[in-house]
Amino acid sequence: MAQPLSKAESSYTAAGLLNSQRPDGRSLLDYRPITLATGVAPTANGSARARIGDTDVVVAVKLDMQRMDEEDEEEGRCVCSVECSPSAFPHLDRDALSDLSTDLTDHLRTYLTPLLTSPQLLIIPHARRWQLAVDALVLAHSGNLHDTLFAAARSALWDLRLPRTRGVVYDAPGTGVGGDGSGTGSVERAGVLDHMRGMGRQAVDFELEDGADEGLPLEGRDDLPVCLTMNLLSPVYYLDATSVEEACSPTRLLLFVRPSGTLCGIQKLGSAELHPSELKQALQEGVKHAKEMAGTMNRRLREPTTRSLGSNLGPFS
Amino acid sequence: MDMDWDFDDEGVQKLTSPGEVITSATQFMRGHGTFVEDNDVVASLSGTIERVNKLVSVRALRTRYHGEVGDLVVGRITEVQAARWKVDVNGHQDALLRLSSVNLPGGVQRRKLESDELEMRKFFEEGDLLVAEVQPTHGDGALNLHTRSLKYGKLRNGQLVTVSPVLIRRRNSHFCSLPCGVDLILGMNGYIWIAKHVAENQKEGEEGFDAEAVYSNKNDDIDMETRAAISRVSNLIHVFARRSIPITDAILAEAYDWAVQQETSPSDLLRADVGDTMVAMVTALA
Repeated sequence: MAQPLSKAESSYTAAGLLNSQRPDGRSLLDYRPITLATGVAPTANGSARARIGDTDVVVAVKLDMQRMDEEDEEEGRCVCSVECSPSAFPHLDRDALSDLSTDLTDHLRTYLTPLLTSPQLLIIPHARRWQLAVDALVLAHSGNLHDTLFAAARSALWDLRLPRTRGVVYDAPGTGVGGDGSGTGSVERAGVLDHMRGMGRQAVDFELEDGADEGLPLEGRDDLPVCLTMNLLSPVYYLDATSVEEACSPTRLLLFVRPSGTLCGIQKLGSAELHPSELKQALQEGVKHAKEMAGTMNRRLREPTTRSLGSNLGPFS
Repeated sequence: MDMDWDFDDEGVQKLTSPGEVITSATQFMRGHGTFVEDNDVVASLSGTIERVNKLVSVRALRTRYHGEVGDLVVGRITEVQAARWKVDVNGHQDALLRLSSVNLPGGVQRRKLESDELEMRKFFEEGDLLVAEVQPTHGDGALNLHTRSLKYGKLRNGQLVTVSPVLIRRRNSHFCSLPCGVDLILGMNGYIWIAKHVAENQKEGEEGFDAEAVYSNKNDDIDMETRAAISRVSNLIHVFARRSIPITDAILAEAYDWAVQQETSPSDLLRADVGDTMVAMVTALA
């Protein structure tokens, strides 16, 4: 993924890391400044831009109404796509770039799909639901792309507003319910019922209560996991690697951690083997830091901001 | 003719942006970064206006490196080809380094043999960094490099920092030594090599040509203080580059002293407030 380094460069960097000295003078577990901005894309239902160091990712979430068929309960709840701008990876050719985009798209889909089980996304049970189209664009890359991508995705979901809906049933003459007692005998006349009653009568359609920019935030958005990449260079491990440092670590672990401290996913990148004792220590340390990061991120996102201007929430570390 | 548009009172060149009318086309000739429309010379780039006699051109603020003969550049090998290497020098296309333009073991004047061609990766392989000089270029704009001097060749014992090429000024020597025990190579292409200081009499190849040492991939032992100094210099360069301040050894030495006096750790410099204070202090002194 990164540009190849010369042997002298990588041994210089690795020797420094083993002595807890990074090329930019940070300590091994320090992050570069993180900047988050929400509401950056006015036409999306939720959007955010995240920067860690010089790595820059924009994510936009768009809602789409989807008909549910019996078989695809799980499939198609969210459609992800990650695009890498060629200017962010000048040394990659087109094939390598599209491979990278596919990899990141897979990561993003695996991360998001289990999160989007909220009943809030159902419009009419067994018939209609909201489908999330999550599009990410990598604008610049200087290492630690995964953390930036998932931080942006998380903030975009935080920013997401789901429009409220009402179920609609067709009210056949003579079977009128409740407030629709004065049935006029017109078959076309649709009686609008509230959501719960609509469900009982098997709503067939819905209408929006909210305009495009209004709606409810996603339930449980405080509890969305953050991603933290642990770079392992036995026996040390370090966070938020720059491109050069990434090239020096044979193994990277992506940890997905909820703000409560629950580890809800691990992914290993790189082909080097990993000793169990080393893994245990790295996990403990990683979860601790991810929890701290998620807490800070939540605090910053909760602060009242002017949404329309693409409020700037960083930098913090 | 009033020449006010060229320089303001302090001699700072005027900035322009695309579409801005610079001057009248009847009096001046259009140069790079400009075009003529309705008898006006109009900028097509954002940058500074430059004038040589009647020729008006715009030098872009953000650009890739345009090579000039004799420039010192730092580059990275991207490809090994037949009897030549391709080198990334931050230009529009990769530069070329011919096998005949490098020093080979066994004497500078030696003929290149077929066996040399077969072991080109012994000298430079993909990813290697080198410092070289630009030779007369090809017709298509690709640069030719050479390393036929003991000063040039493979780089080790340090780290690379990349800035915009416009921030590096042409000067007598691009090899600088800072008082803090760090050597700098300011490549005209915006690649800056920061390395441990090597005393003049310990440089490779002083007596005869030691190919082992010149093409070595092994670093010397570097102590923690030197590493910290290298990190600090690299962060200082980042801070200056982010604020578009031209990088010279004098300003870096000044900034380094300030940073040491303030007892900031190298990573503190990456914080915006510390960076701002540092830049304000150092530019006030200069």
